[in-house]
Amino acid sequence: MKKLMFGLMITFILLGMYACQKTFLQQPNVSGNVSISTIFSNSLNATSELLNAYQWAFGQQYMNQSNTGVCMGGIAGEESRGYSWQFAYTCYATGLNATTTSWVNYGITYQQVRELCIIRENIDQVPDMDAVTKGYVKAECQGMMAQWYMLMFKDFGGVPLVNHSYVATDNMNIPRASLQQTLTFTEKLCDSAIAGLPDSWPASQFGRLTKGAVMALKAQLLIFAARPLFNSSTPYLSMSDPANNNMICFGNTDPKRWDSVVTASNIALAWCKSQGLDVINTGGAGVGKPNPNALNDYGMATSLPGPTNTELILNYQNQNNSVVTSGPGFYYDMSAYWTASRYDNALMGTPYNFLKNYLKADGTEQSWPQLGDQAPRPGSDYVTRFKQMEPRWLADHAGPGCDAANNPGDAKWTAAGWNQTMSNSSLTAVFPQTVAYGNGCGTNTKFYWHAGSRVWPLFPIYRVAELYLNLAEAYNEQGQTALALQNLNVVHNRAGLPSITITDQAALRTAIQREWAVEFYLESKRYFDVKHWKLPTIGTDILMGNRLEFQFLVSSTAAASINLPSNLISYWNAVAYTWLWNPRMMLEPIPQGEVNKLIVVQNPGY
Amino acid sequence: MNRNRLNYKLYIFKSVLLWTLLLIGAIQLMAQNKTSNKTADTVLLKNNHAQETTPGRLFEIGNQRSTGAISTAYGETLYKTTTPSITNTLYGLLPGLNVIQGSGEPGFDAASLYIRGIGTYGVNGYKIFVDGFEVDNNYFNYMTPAEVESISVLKDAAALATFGMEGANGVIWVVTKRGHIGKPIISFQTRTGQQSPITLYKPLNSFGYANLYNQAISNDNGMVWNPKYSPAQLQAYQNGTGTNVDWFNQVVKNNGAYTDGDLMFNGGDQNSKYNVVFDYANQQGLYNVSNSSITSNTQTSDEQFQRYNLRANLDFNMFSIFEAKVDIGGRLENRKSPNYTSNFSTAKLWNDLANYPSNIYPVYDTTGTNGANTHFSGTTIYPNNPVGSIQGLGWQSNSVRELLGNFSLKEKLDFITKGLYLSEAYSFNSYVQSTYNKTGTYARYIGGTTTTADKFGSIVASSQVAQAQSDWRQAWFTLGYNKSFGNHSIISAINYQNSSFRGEGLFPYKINRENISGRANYAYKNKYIAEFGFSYYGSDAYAQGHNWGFYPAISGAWIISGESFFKTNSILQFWKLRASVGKSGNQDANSPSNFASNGRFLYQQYYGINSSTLYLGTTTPTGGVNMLNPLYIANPNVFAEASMKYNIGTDLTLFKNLAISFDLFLDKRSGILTQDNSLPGYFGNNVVFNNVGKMTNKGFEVSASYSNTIGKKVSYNINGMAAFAKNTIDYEAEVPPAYQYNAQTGRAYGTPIGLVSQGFYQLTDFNPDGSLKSGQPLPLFGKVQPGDIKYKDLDNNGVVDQNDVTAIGKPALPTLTYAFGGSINFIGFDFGILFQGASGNSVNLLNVPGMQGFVNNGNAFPIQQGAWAYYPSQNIDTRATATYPRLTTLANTNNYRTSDFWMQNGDYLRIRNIELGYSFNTQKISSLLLSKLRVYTNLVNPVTFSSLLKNYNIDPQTISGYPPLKSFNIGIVAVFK
Repeated sequence: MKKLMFGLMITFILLGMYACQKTFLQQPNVSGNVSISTIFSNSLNATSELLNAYQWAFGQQYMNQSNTGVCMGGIAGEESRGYSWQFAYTCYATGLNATTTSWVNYGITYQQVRELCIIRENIDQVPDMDAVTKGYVKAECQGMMAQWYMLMFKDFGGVPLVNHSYVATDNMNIPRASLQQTLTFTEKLCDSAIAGLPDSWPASQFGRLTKGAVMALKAQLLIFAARPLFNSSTPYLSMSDPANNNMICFGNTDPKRWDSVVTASNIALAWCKSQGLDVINTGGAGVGKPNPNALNDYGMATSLPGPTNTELILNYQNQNNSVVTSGPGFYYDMSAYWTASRYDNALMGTPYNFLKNYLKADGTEQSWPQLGDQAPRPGSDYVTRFKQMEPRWLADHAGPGCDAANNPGDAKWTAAGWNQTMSNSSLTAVFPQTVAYGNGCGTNTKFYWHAGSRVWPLFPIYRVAELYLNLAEAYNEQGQTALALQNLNVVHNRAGLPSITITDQAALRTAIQREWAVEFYLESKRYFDVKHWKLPTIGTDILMGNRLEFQFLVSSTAAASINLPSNLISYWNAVAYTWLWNPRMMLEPIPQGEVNKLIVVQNPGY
Repeated sequence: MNRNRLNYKLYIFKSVLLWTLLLIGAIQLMAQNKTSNKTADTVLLKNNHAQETTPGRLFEIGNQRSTGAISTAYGETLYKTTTPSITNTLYGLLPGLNVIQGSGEPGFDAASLYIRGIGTYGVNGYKIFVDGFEVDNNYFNYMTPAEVESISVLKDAAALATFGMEGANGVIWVVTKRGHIGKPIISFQTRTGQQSPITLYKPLNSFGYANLYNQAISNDNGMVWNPKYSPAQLQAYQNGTGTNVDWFNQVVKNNGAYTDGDLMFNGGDQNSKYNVVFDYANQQGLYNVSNSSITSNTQTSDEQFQRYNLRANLDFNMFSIFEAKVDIGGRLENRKSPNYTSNFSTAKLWNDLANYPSNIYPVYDTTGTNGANTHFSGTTIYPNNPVGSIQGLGWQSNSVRELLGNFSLKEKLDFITKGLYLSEAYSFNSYVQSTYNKTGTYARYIGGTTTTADKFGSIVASSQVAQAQSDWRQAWFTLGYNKSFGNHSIISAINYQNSSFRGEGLFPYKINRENISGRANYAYKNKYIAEFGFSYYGSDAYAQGHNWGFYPAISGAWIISGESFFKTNSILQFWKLRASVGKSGNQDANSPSNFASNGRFLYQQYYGINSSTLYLGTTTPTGGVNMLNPLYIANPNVFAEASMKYNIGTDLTLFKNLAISFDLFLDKRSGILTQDNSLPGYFGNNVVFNNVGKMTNKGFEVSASYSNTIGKKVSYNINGMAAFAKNTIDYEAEVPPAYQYNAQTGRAYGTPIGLVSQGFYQLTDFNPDGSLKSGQPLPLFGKVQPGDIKYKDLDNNGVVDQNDVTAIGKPALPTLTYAFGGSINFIGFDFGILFQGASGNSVNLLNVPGMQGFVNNGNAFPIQQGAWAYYPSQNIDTRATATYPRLTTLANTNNYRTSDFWMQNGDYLRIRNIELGYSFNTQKISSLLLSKLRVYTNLVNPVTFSSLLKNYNIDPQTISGYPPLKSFNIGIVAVFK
C-alpha cells in the first residue's frame, strides 16, 4: 500500500510540474493580431502601416476625423453649415471653444506624428525591403510629418515639436515652440523629405509623395509664414503672458518672408515643368486670352486622377462606405441619386456671401438680388443669371432650373433628375422672409466632372495652379506687379476669363484673394487663407456674420418639380442665420484638457 | 386580460381556502391532544443553522478558530424568496454583499452584486467559486437553492489570502449539498405563484398628451400659442371618440405564472454517500398573448424561461486511505420571447411602450378592405406597433446547456505522519448556447394603405444554430497537514491550482492562470489564534517574466471569553476579537475603447485593420490597399492592480441568545490599470494604459440576531444587519479639469458630475428681442427662453459651460444597505418577514425612458404636467409652481443635460418576503410515510417605500426596461422517510 501511495504521489508531482511549465502562461495563440514585431517583419505589413498614415495625413485636409465626413467648406463660408449634428454647425453655433472641439484635432495630429516616427525608426528592420525603398519610406514619413506640422502651424501657431516616438517614462515637458522654431523645424522636415523622395512612382503606387509634392508643401508653409497674421510686429491678440507672443506672431514684418515664397514656389514650378505638369489649358490660347475650353479643363484638373491629370501634384483617394456609421472616412456624394449618404450633404449649398466672388463669363460683375430689395425677382431671372456665370461656377454648381454643366447629358445630374430639393423653397414663402437654410444659392458639384455614377471624389491636395497663385500673391507683395499679373492670369485666363490688368497693389491683392477663393472652392484652403490675410470682413461676411441665401417661392411641393424652371415663381436674398465672430477665432484653441496639464499654453481669448 | 384577472382571483381564492382548512385543522389538533410539538424547535434550529464551521478555500475551519470576515447564508433561507435566479434571493442576508435588483425579465433577471461596495473604478467583478472551482455569473445565477448548502461572502484579507489576483474584489464561495450518513431521505418541494410588476411607469392618455403637446409646440414657436390639436380634437380625446390606446394595457398582462419544483434524494453509509437534486422551474412573462402561444407555431409569443437542473454529488471512501468525490451536474435553460429583441432581451419593447403616444393610431387598421384585428397600424415614425411586436413577428428562443463535472481524490497519509494528506481534483465546465427562431413579418397600415416597406410574411423557422460556447478546465493538488499536540493545534495546506478557459472573441479566447497558495491556522490553548495565508499567482495577461505576483496575508484572533476571568459571566458568553491585514490582486481590467482585450496583452504593441480603404494608382476604385492602425501604445510593465485590505472585527454572544458581529474595514487599492490621461497630447496617443490608479474604500458591517422561546410552544427570532461602504478615488489620471470642483478624482466612484440648477428662467430675465438681460451668466448650450433651466456659473466667468460642473448627487450604488426581520413559530405555524433597504444613492431621472417628453417624437408622462408654461389666453400659467422645465418638441441641450435638477434620492425600504407556513404534526403524517409536511404561502417584494415610487411611480432600482416583479406564491414541502 505504501508503495502504491508513493507511486501516486510521484505521479501527481510530475503531473503538477508538467502543468507548471512555463508555456502554460505564455500568451495563447490568439488569432488575427499583428504586433509591432510583425509589422516590421515584412514589407507588406510595414507598407500597410505607412498607407494608414497616408490616409490620416491627407484625409485631415477634407474631413474632421472625429466627425462625419464633411468638408471644411461649412466653416470656411463656402458652404452652408449643414445639419445641427454636423461639425461646422456644432463648431460655430455656440462659438469655437476649448472644451468642445476645433477643426484640427490636436490629439489625433500627434498620434500620427508618433506613428510616422515609429515607422521611420523601425523601417530598417524590414528584411524584404530594399535600401532604396527604405530611404523613400523614411522621406515619406518626414514629408507627412511636415504636412501635419504645417497644418498645426496654420491652425495653432507654434506647437510642441516632437521628432521621435516617446516612451511613457521619458521626460515629456515640452512647451510650445515659437513660430520661428516651428517654421524652421517644418522646413527642415521638408528639405530632408525632398532630398529623399523620388520624382515619380510606378503607376500602381501613384498617390504617394514625390519631391514635387513636398516642394509644394514647403511653398504653402512659407506663404503662411509671410501672410500678415504671423508676419507682423504685434499679434492679433496678446497671449495671457506676453512673453509667449512669439508663439502666434513673428514680432516683425519682414518682406524677406515673401522672397522665400517666390524661391520655393519657383523651385516647385520648375520641378513640375520638368515632369510635364502644368495648368491644364487645352484651348491653346496661351497667356493673355480666355481659354475656350475652360469648363472642361478646370473640371479635369479638379476631378481626374493622375497622371492623366497633368495639373495634379498630389491627390487623395479614399472611399469609405461606412462613414455614416463611424470612423474616419469620406463619402462626399454631392449629387442626389445615391441613397447612402446624400442626406448628410443636403444642407451644403453655396451661400450668397461666397457667390459674390464669382464673375460673369465676360469678366464683369453679376447683379444678384440684394438684401433690402424692394421686391422679389421672378424665378426665371435666377436661371438666366446662373447661366451667365463664369465656367468655374458652372463646373462647380447646379441649381433649381439649372442642370450640372459638368455632367452634360446625364439625367441624374439634371435639375429634374436631382431627386431632391436644390433650393430653400416653399409654396407659401413670403418675401422677404427666410424660408429655410442650407441650399444656398446653388448646390455644389465640384470634383464630379464627368462623374456619371461615381460617388467618391478624388481630392487634389496640391495642383500646379496653387504655385502660380503663390507667385502672384508674393510678387504683388514685393511690388513686382507685372510678374504678379502674369502668374495670376495663367490661372484666370485658363478659367475662360479675360486678363486682369489692375496695377494698384491693394486692388490687385483683392483680385488675387478672389482668385484663390474661386479657383480653390472647397479645396480646404479658404478657412486658413482668410484668417491669415486678416481680412476686415472676416467676422461680418466671410467666416461669421449674416449668412445670406436665396429663398424661392415655388408652385409645387414634389422634390423633382421644385427644381424645374417652370415651377420657380420668385426668389430673393435673405439672412439664413447669423454666426457671431470673436477675434480669438483667428487661431484655434488647444484642447482645455491639454492646457490643464500646465505645460502647453493656450492661444489668446480661450 | 379577463382571463388573467380570473387566474389571479382563483389564486387568492385557493389560498384563502387552504388557510381556512389549515386553521380548522390546527384548532382541532390543539383541542384534541396536547402532544408536545417539536416542529418549532426544528425550525428554530434551521434558522440559526447551528453550523460549527466556516467555509473557506483549502479547508473549512471551526467557527471559533476562524480569523476572517465571512458571512454565510444557507440554502433553505435562500429558498424563501420565490424567484428563478439565485442572486435575487440574497437581499439582506449577507452583511457586506450589496445586491442591486435589475430587470424582472424571465431569464434576464440577475441582480448585480457588490462585495463591500466598490473598491476599484476598474473592473469590480467579484469571483464565484462552487465547491472550490471558479464559475461564471451565468452558472451561479441559475443554480437552485435546493442544491446549495451554503453561500458565503469572503471579504477580508484573511478570507481572501489564497486567491491571489482573484481576491481583491471579494469572493462568493458556494458549497453544494452532500449526502449524510443515515436513512435515505426523499424530499419534494414545489411552489407556484403569480408574478406582477412592482410598478409600471405609464404615460398620459391621448387627452393629456395632446394638451401638453400644444404647449410644447407653442413654446417652440416663440411662445406664441400655436396648438397642433384643436379644441374639437381635444374634446374627442376626452370623451373617448378619439384614438386613445393604452399601449401598456394592450401589451402587458397583470401577472405571469411561476412554478418550480425540486426532488432531492439524500443518504449514505460509511463507504458511500449521495445527494441528488432534480429541479425544474418555469417562469412566464407578462406579455398579453394566449398561453397556448408559448408552445404553438403562431406568430404571437409571450416571454418564457425554463430551467432543468440536475446535480448528483457522490462521496466514496475506499480502504481507509482514499476519499473520492464525484459531482456531476447538468443544466438546461430555455428562453423564449417575442421576436423583438436585442441580445435576446425584449427591453426595447418597453422603450416603445414608454415612447409611443396613446393617440398615434389604433392598434389595428380597420379601414377599407382590412378586416377587424388583422392589420396592424404603423407609421414611419412609429413603425413598431407594440402589439404587433408581440403578435406579428413570431418568436425566438435560445437554449443554454451547461455540463459540469468535478472529481476529487484525497489520500490520507497518516502512515507517513499523522494528519498529513494529499488531494487532487479536476473540474470541467462546458457551456453551449444555441438559438432557434420562428419568425414572421407584418405590414404596417394607416387608412387602408401600407406606410412602410414591410410586408406580411408567414412564419419561417430558422435552423438551430450554435450561438456561443465556452469550456473551462481547472485542476488542483493540495498537500495538507492537521495536528494537535498539547496546547498547540495547527491546520494547514498548500495548493497548486490552474485554470484554463476557452471562450470566444479575439483576446478572451483563451485565458490561463496558475495559483500556488497556502494557508496555516495555528491555535494556542484555543484562545490565541494566528493565521498566515499566501498566494503566488501567475496570469497569462502580462509579459513573460513579469506575470507572477506574491500576495501574503496575516490575521489573528483572541477569544477573550476563553480567558479564566470571563468564565462565570452571565451577560457575555462569547467574545472574540479578530484582525487581518493582507494583499490581494485584481487582474481584470477595462479595455482600451477600440479594442476588446479586457486589459490583457497590453504589453504587446498590437495593430488592427483600418476599416476604410485607401486607393493608390491611376484608376479607382480597384486595388484598394489594407491599412494597419496601432490599437494603443504597449506598456511592457502592465500588471494586476493591488489591494491592501485591513479588517478588525468582533463576535459576541450576549444573554445567551443575542449574537452580534461587527467588522470595520479599509481597502487601499493601487495600481489600477488606467488610461493615462496625464500624458501630454504630444506624446502621441491617448490610449496608454498604466497601473497608476488609486482608490480607498472603507466601511463597516454589523449584524445581530436574537432567538428565544416563550414557553414550550413559541419560538422566535429577530435579526438585523447593516453594511456601509464608501469609497474615494484618490487618483485616476483623469483629463485635468479646469477647476478642482469639476474633478471626479477625490470623490466617490460614479459620483454624478453636472451643473447646478437654480430654478427656471422667467419672462423678466429676457429683453424684448428674446436675448438674456445682461448681468446674467450666458449658458453655452443653445439659446434659452423662459421656462428653461437656469444654471449656476460656478467660476463666475459670465458663461455657463462644462467648467461649471461639480458633484450634484450621490453614486448609483447605495452606501448603506440594511435589513431586518424576524420569524415566529407557534404550534406548527410559522411566520417570517424580511425588510431590506438601502440609502445613500441618487437616481438620474434622465435615464428614465420618456423623461425628455416630446423630443424625438416621444411621449408625455404625468411628471411633465408640472412643466413651466405661460399662455394667459389659454388660462395656462405655471410660472410660480413649475416642477419641470418648459416642454419642447426639439432636442434641448440646455434642459436635458446632467444637472442636479434631474437627480433624485434613490433611498428605499422594501419588504422582500413575508411567509406564513404550517407544518403538520409529525405523528399525524407519519402514516403517510412523511416525516415533514409543510404548506406555506409567501409574498415577494409586496411593499416598497420610496420617494421615487411615491412621487413618480418609478421603481427606485429598475428605472427602465422590463419591470421588476412582486409575487404571490403558495408552496408545499414534503419529506419522506
